[in-house]
Amino acid sequence: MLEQKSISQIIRFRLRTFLFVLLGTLFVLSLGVLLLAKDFVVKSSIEVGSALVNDRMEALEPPDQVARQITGVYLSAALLTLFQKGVPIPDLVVIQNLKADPVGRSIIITSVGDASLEGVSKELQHLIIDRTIKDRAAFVNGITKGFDIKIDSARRTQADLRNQSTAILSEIEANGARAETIRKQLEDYRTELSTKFQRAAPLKSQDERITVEAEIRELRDQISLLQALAKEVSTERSRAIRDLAEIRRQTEDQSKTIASTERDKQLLGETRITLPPSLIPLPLGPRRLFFLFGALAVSILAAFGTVILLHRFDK
Amino acid sequence: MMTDLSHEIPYAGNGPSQSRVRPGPAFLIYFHIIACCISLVLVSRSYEYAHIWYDDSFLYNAIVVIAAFALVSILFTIAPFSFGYFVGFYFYTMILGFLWLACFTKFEYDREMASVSAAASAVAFLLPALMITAPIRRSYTLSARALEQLLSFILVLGTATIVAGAVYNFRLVAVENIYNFRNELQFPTILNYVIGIVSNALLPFAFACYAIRKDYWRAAATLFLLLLFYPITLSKLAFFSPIWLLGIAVLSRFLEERTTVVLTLFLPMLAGIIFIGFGQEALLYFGTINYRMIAIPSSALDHYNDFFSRHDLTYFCQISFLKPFVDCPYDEQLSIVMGKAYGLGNFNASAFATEGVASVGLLFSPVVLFLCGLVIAFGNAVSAKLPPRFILMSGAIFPQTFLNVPTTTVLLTNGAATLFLLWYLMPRTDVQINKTSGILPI
Repeated sequence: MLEQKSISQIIRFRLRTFLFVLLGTLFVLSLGVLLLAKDFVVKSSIEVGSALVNDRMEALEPPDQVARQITGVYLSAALLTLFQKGVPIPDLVVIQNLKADPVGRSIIITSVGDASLEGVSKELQHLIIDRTIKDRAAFVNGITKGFDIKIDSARRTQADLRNQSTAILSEIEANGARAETIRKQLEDYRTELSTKFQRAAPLKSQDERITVEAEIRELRDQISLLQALAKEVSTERSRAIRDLAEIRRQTEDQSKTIASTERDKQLLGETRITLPPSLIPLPLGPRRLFFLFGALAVSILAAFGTVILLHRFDK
Repeated sequence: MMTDLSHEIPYAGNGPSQSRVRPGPAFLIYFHIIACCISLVLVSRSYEYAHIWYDDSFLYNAIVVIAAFALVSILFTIAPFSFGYFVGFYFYTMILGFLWLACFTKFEYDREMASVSAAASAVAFLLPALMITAPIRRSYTLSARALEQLLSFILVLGTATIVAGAVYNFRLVAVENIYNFRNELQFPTILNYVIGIVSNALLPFAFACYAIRKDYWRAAATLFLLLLFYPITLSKLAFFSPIWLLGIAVLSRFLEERTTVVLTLFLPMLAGIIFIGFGQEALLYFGTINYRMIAIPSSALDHYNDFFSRHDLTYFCQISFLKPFVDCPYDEQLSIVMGKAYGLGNFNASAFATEGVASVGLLFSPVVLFLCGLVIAFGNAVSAKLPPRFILMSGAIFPQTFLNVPTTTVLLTNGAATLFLLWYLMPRTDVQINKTSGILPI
């Protein structure tokens, strides 16, 4: 196209300028790329405290919230502490670019910087981790205490229930003995009644007959009373057995409560360090080839722009 | 001896038979690229909730990516001015912003592939849009009298549209409060189309004609009519259109057209960068220009890439007249689907996101964008030999519209096809354009 020829003519006319700017810029930028220092990574990780919820381990606090707290609140406080300890500001400027990335229940804390800042980076991360754990310890302690209170309460209730069931058992036994006594007495009365019936039959005297019939009636009343009593005792015994079953069930519930609370207490996890601040022994080198390509692009643009600018000034 | 390029009659799209075109801006474009990147860093500080991120660790990578894509800007130095240049530069800025944002995005999609696809799509779009400028043969041209009548008709139609629109809604509301009332707007479909065509195509066309002729009273009247669309549509574009057109008219009066195109983005963005340094009071301006006008189209592409990396493609089913022929996995409009997915309000986007990524995916997006470039090249062809300043003013609203709305919508609903028709019919001779003298007052 004619427009391209025009541009190429312009570049050809100022070829020396073009090449000078291109190579000069490329040289300067390449030098900068080659002099880019290799960075190192100091990494640590903590696991946010967790508890068993609905048969699943869940974090006590959303890890991404903790991560934001780390970079938003704890980082500033830690930097201030380091500053007060005499760490120079340029070093603080570098290490302040700390990142906290939540991964599941863990938080990965990363600092990238020159290898000479390894000690300061580690100290910074230690300060942040200590503060993070300390702030959460009270919460976990509170939960643990709550578990202990729940277990004690369940144990006391269980003991009370056991006492109750012992008392009810005694009652059932006593009722059983009473029922047996009543049964024996009933048998005796029935035997006596049948004896009286046999005695009454051959009696010729009216007075004797009346006396025996009165005794028979009295015996029958006694038998009715005893039968009613036996029924009452039987009803009471059934109630006591039901109560005993209920108390045994409640005792079982308390046992389950104690077991599950002890399990929850055992599984309750505090916020803890899973990886202390450590220097990753692989340098985070810049992708020099990639950056050199960028340097080439910038050089071409600078050379092209310079030639066009000079051409416009000429016009 | 160097060919003197300074006395060239600056008609757009002279075609291969015409003389050479002098080079366009170069360093200005480089400064614009740097300003874009700085603007996006500042935007990320105030608008991180909108998923616009920045991280120092990836700065060098981002610089290399931007430097590589900056090589494409050479096209804007060597290409002649045309409508495609105007639209193409805005798209270039949008893709530049996306490539920057992709280096820092926290979305989980294949960012390398998306960046390569976006860059390839940009080049595929720009090649026809910038390089195809040959005029087409015209079978009919308006006479000077017909043009006069047309311009008067446009003013009357504009007034009638405003009256009709005011029947449905007319509210004087501050710009920052428009979203409280926007959802209540309900216009009949035909009125929606007419409002779009009149405010985006016809009135700017009329303004351009009057401005070129130095008929300042009628030009001012046109701007006033444009302003009256704001209380009806409650749209920021309607509010700023008159200022925008006036700004372009003034800039193009003193500067070369390609420089004007670059400055229409560079100057407002630079002002936002400077103002935000004075504190949060400038946030309204910064939010409107640097965030809404410049960052959002790029961020939309980021969101669409994320969404469609995990959801079915549309295969153009979002285009209403294609819906009966293509099975659509989405019942609602794409902008509403995206709004629900990300909770940032209705999220419409440019052809790169909708007709590209959403419709055909990353691999075939450059093909679709090449076709879109051909459509813009058609706009170049029908506007060839019109004064560049005229093209700038009459088409001033469309680059912004193309950034935020699919190409098919811009052509039909927003009136781009109508503008192409008007350009086609416009007389090219000096006498017919200017009714008062034979000299083209550029």
